[in-house]
Amino acid sequence: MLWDRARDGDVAAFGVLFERHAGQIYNYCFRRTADWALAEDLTSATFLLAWRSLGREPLEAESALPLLYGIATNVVRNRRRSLKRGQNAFRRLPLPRVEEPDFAEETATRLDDQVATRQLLGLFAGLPGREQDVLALCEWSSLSYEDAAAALGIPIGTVRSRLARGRRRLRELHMASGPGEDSKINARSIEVNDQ
Amino acid sequence: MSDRLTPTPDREFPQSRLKQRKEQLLSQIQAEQRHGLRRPHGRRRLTLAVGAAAAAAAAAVTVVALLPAGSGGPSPAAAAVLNRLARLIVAQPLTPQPGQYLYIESRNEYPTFAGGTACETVAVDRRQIWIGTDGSGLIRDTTGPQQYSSPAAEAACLQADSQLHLRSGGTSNDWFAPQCLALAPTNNWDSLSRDPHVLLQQMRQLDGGPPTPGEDFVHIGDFLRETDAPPAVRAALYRAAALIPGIELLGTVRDHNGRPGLGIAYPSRGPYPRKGSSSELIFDPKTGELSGEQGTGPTYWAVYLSQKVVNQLPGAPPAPLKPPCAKGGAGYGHQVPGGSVMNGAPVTSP
Repeated sequence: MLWDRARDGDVAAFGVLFERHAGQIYNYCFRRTADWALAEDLTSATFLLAWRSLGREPLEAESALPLLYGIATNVVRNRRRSLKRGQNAFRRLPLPRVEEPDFAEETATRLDDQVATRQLLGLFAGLPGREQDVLALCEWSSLSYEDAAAALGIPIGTVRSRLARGRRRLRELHMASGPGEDSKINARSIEVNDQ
Repeated sequence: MSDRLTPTPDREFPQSRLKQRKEQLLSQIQAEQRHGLRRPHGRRRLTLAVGAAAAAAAAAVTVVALLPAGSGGPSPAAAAVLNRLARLIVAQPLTPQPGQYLYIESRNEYPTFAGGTACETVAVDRRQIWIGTDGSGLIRDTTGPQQYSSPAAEAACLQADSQLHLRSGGTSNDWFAPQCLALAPTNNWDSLSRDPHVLLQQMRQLDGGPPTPGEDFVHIGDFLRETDAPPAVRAALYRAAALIPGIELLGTVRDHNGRPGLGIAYPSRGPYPRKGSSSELIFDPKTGELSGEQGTGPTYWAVYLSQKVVNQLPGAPPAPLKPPCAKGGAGYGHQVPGGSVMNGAPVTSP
């Protein structure tokens, strides 16, 4: 098992795990921040912290993804300090420029993503943080109740109730915001983005 | 209507960037392994219950064994100052009673490097924290507009990511239910040894990062800043800092606000932290409190403007808050996966 090998110090195995799961964590971090570049940095920080925590956490393959989402949730929340620590590590190893312009063709799409996600986060800001976490994991990242519970360290029943309340409140907030309130939502989303 | 409630579709992690990121990550991990850092192994769970004399002695020996050869001893002058500061801090009355809060206000500026390593942006952050004796509280962040740190940084940012969005700033309030607010790697202060040798080892275990003197100095800062560590623990942390090889006494320095303080620095000779980088902790010579921080590689600063006991929060959370938050309630970085489930709602500023 890759996670067993990684836990025993097999760096190559951890590299395979990174390739396998980085995309999921990247999209999760983006949806919590509305910033693709930042999401990339946060993904790297999440995996470095995951590596360092492997010796401490009892880890089975089925718990690996919740572990990553749990770490990513904290990294997003503590992003200022997490990034500083991550940069202390990663800046030793310069990231070379790539010739291939990755984003060139997709720039417009990704810009649209950022605008849309900022609006959504603006609504999201009206929810308690506990409900934001559960909604982001279950609805946006399609984690099962069990995995979300493992990621957040809470009972499954709590995941269910937070999800139900969060969905209801989000819909109420959406109804209340009305169709002409986009500029207001944008202003609030910036606040969320800047936490 | 549902469009605005639906997240955007998954996008691919750009393939070439993924490859780069992987190489960077694995290089970092391999570098940590080469330097004798603890690597993942077995199914041990960290225990903090290091109380027995035998364990303490063993841990002290371990710390010494992990120090790199040739790193020399601690600076006698710096150690003397830290030990004097320890005697000062232990007498500070910053101990809230039940129903009271420790209030800490700071301003700081940490760079971020979104989009590439040369793409440096900065934003000044005013941070206010209320920590209750029951682990409840509030973090209020008022962030200024994000800016490029230099014209060269701006050029690098735009080259790395032409879509980079600079944030305009704002205020957030994060409320925490009892046992849910923990800003240090642990807030179980009773579990930490007052023996500085043992304490250094415990901090290494909690962090899981490189066991080097430079990282030990980072840990000291992590436990001191914005925490409700009681005076006796703070004193032990100062005495632990006094043991770190390579620390230097800077004498009287000025923090970012121009206030004088006693500076203790760790100029790194590498590899951890990065060679050439430097971290300074600045202490109030009268009270012994941590009053500021600054460093280079990357450049950052923080000034602690107010640390006092107050009788109430500046308002009420927008909704009733209830534990549980998470395992042990630790809310710091990677210490516990999902460690801090924020039990409260971010609300907009007044």
